[in-house]
Amino acid sequence: MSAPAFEGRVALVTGGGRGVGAATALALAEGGADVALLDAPPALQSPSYPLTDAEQLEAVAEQVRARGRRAAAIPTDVRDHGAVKAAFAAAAQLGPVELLVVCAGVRSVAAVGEMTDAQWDETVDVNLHGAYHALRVAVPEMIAGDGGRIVVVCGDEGRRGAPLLSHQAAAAWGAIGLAKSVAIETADAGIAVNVVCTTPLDTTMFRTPESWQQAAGEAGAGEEEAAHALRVRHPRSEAYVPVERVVETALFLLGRPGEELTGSVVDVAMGLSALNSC
Amino acid sequence: MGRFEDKVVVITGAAQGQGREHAVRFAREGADVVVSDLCEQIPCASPMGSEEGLAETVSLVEETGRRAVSLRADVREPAQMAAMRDAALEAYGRIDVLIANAGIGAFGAFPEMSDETWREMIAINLGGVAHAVRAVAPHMLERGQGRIVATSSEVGREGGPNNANYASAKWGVIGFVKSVAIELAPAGITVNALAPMSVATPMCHNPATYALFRPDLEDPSPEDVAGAFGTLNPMGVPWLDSSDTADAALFLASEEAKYITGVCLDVAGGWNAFHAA
Repeated sequence: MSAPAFEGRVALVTGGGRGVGAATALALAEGGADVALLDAPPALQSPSYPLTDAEQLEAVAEQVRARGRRAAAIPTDVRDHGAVKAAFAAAAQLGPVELLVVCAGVRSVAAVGEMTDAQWDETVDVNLHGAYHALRVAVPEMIAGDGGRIVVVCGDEGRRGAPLLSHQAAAAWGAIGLAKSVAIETADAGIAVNVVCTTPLDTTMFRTPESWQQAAGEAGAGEEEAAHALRVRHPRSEAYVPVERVVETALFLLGRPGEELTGSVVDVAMGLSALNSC
Repeated sequence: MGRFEDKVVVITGAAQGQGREHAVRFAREGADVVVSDLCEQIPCASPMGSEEGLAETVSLVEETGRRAVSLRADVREPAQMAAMRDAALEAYGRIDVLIANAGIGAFGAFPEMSDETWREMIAINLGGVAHAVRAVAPHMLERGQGRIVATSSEVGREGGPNNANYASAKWGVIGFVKSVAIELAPAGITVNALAPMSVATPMCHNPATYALFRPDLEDPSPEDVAGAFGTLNPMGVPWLDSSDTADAALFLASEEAKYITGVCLDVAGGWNAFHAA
């Protein structure tokens, strides 16, 4: 991960305030990229965990700068297309964005008949519309410029049915359909668009009673029961994918020279992808 | 005796096209129906149903000797989907089958896609399916029975150039359907998706869609575009008839399909054979 594959290039990372987004941003900085970080949205109703705030986002930017690269921390609500456009305009101070990493996402757990409108709306707005907004701004800029690389990070519920996560699955499957469509349209434009799907990560978003109960398949289950259930579920008998493995995969896709690899979904899924029909 | 004698079937997007065909076919097999539609044209969308069209669906159902309740309802609004459910329960006391069919066509090159073209597509073709299912699922769970069929598309099985919004919505429908299928399976309720190729409805037969398939012609006719449509599937069929997808929907809703759930059934002249999964 230390090769300066991204020297002089500019990356924009949504959801860059922590977790996979922040880790990817720092790895890109180590590889020589300047990084614009989008995160720190306004309050939402559906997440049962704290969202990233502007201070945390700025702290990641500081870590980028500590690696000798430039950074812009841009608090952004990715649900708002205008705000995303403004964030890209602000990122342009670093140079044209050639690397886009879509990590912004929210998570909640709900049975379909009990799901609130906020759970549906916020999931679709952030996880699907947010991805669209970023791609919609980035793609024309990349076409007009020297092309680019786009990686969309989704949960494994984008690959199969996921009980109590039908809203999450709808948004993730939708994001994959979006990425593949854009990959076809941009295949001759020097742009590669790929998706990384991961089984659960032990990050803030997942560290909630509702996620533990969903993973364990029983009400009242806690962290231990969830980890046990995930170990049983995964062919590789570990509960959580290390964040670094996701980062490595994203960097591989961002750093590839040609556009032969586009429109793909790469599963980092502890062997669960062996259950996929292909 | 039909397969759906005295069953109650709720269908969204029923003022024309596949939704109307589903309604008439279920009625011919003995079902009473609730048919809904927005009955309003959204500017970016392919030609949509009207109040007259919905009334025509009602009379076609009544000609079969079955009952039809119709209402204008916007699938983008969860409260209106709840009102549709309530109308069905008030009229018939139960819902046996939900066909979440309402959908629009609207396309464009991704780098130029308008916000409206993106947003309305996701709101109707994906959100609309979810809101209909969210409204009806508690009732089906309470009864411990039910059948749900949601309309996806072959474009929900691959990327769709000029159709990023449509592909996204239709992929989303499949992920949603598979998730809900797992949730409702213990109650014996089946939830499946239907993935047709082009169907001979106003969504397919309109000047804008024709122009997409034959950009080289000024004012292409159905004959001009049939060949281009036909190249999408190995059977070389330009478009299905609505009765072809109704056959599949009725099967998925039937007693014979009681152990079929979480499926996305391709009705596509073999187009699906090109897909990896």
